[in-house]
Amino acid sequence: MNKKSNCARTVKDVPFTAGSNGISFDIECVDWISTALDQLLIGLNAKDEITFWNSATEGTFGILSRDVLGIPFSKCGIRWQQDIIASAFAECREKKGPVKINDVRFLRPNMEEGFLGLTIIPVKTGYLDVLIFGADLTERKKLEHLKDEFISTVSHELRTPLTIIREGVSQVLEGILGETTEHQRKFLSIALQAIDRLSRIINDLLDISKIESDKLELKMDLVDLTVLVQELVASPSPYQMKAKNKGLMIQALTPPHRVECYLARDKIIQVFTNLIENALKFTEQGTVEILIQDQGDHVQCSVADTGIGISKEDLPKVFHKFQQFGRTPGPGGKGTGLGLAISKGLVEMHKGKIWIEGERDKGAKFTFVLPKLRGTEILRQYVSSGIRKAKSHKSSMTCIQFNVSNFDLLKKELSKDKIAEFIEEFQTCIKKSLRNRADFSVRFHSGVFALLPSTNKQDGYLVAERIKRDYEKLEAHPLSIQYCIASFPEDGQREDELIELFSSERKI
Amino acid sequence: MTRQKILIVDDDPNFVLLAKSRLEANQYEVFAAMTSVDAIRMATELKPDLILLDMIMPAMEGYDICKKIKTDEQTRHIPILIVTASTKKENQLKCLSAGALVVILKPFLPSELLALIKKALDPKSKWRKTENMRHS
Repeated sequence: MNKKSNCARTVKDVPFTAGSNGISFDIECVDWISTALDQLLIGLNAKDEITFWNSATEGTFGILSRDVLGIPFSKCGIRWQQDIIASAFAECREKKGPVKINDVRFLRPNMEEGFLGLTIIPVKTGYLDVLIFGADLTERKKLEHLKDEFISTVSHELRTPLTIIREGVSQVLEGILGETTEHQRKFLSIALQAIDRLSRIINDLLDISKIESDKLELKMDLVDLTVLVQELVASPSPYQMKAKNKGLMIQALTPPHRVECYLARDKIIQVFTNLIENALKFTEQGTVEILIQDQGDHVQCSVADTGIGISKEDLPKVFHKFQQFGRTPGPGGKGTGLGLAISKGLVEMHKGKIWIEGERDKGAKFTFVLPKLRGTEILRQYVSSGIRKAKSHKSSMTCIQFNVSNFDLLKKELSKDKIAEFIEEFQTCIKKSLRNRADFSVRFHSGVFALLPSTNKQDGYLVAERIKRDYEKLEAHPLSIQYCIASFPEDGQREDELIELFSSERKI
Repeated sequence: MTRQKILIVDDDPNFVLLAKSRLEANQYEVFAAMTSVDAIRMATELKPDLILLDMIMPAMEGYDICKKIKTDEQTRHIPILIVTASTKKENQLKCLSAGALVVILKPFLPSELLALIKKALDPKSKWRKTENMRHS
């Protein structure tokens, strides 16, 4: 390496020598490896001048290394989203750690659009300050898009005739088009059940496809699992009816206090629904028990039955798709074969774990654990996702953090559960006040966070004031509310910048 | 008693036939538009009490029809329910942002559809109150 000029040489310029100890392992070897890589590799010095530019980078951008070595990175001529790159660099230098960015749009030499995934790594070597690794994601994105389109089209094309069939059969069955015999009604009922099963299979296929391609978005909020499970099971729930019809007992065993956890409420209900329906299906006598246990940093949920159980050989296959094995359900009990695979996917999306215990004829117990995520983590995810969407739609985004300013006073006089109840009521008030369907709110232990897409800061203030006013008009409003607002792009381009603006007085 | 008027906007004649049959059996007066031009014309002329709108229509997307109806002084008060077989969330959100009250995914239970129509037609329902706030 020519250290005086601080320019790296490519492997073509370095004579290959092999001594008695083999190849000398220094920059020449790095050159050799980088040339063999399919991935982009760019090195910058402390002045942001290019010191390294491998052949994959040459091929992707159509810019030769000899034309860019030694010049500032910002002037290298790559046609890409400069603002995103600059922002990532700033973050990398501030964090002193690697930064990953995906879906960076760029133009190839032939003006075709492509997408890159980049990792920017701060390194401190003799002549390198930053290394940029990159992968061309264009083909992968094209395939993903084709797969999404295919699934969406197939789903649409299946649903349309299914609707016609269902509506036609159901109207004849209900006698809308004239009287029918008992025999005809029996056959039409069987047909309707099959149509509904097909409909569930289509929905489940769509769900599993989204889970596997990481496209399912979880709307996380602070949820009391005790109440969630009690509501699922309490009379007059359909599960109580099914259990009663089979002579079974179904009950929820929950702690006397709230067990709160950040989760996507509708998805965890989906998990419980799958597990409870399975338990009821495969149990002919005895009980189905749903158990919630607060384990401190995580929550453990179980659904146990006294049914036909499952053999040891089949245990490992339980969460596979479309697996059929020894468990034969009672009449009318055929599922889609995807429920447990979807449940596993949903639990794992919550960074949890699910497993089964059981033996043939000795019942089965499904257990899943959900970690108690921190509010700050949830806040960061929402703000980051909100900024990403706002950038892609070229619009703004406003976050409002509503804090309970008399929280310390309330803590002295009331229980944690009571305060949580009041904050939940306040969140209900917020939901009623939000007029844009895309707006949403998340409850925290000491307040509520609202995210308003496509809303600028000025409008954000109007919304916050309206919410505060609506709450204070209620006959009972035990909370004193203050709020902070942060907007993209007015207050910053990155989530760190917006989150810093929120009051640090109250921990989320 | 005057029957409430529902306009179905869908280019699938089979769906229109079945939906009309279901709604008439539930005492609604039903009209159908199978093109976007007819949809906008009939919304203006008939001023139905409610519109069931398919999200994917030839020539003009459901979102554009919804936006047109919701921005016209004469028709903006009409509640719109989107009925669709498309699961694309972005398109659904677009329609909701344009003023539709809810998206009903096909296939649906008849009881669900009828309950949603009843809720949308009830002037005291939360939906209608929020709708009025959006226009104020």
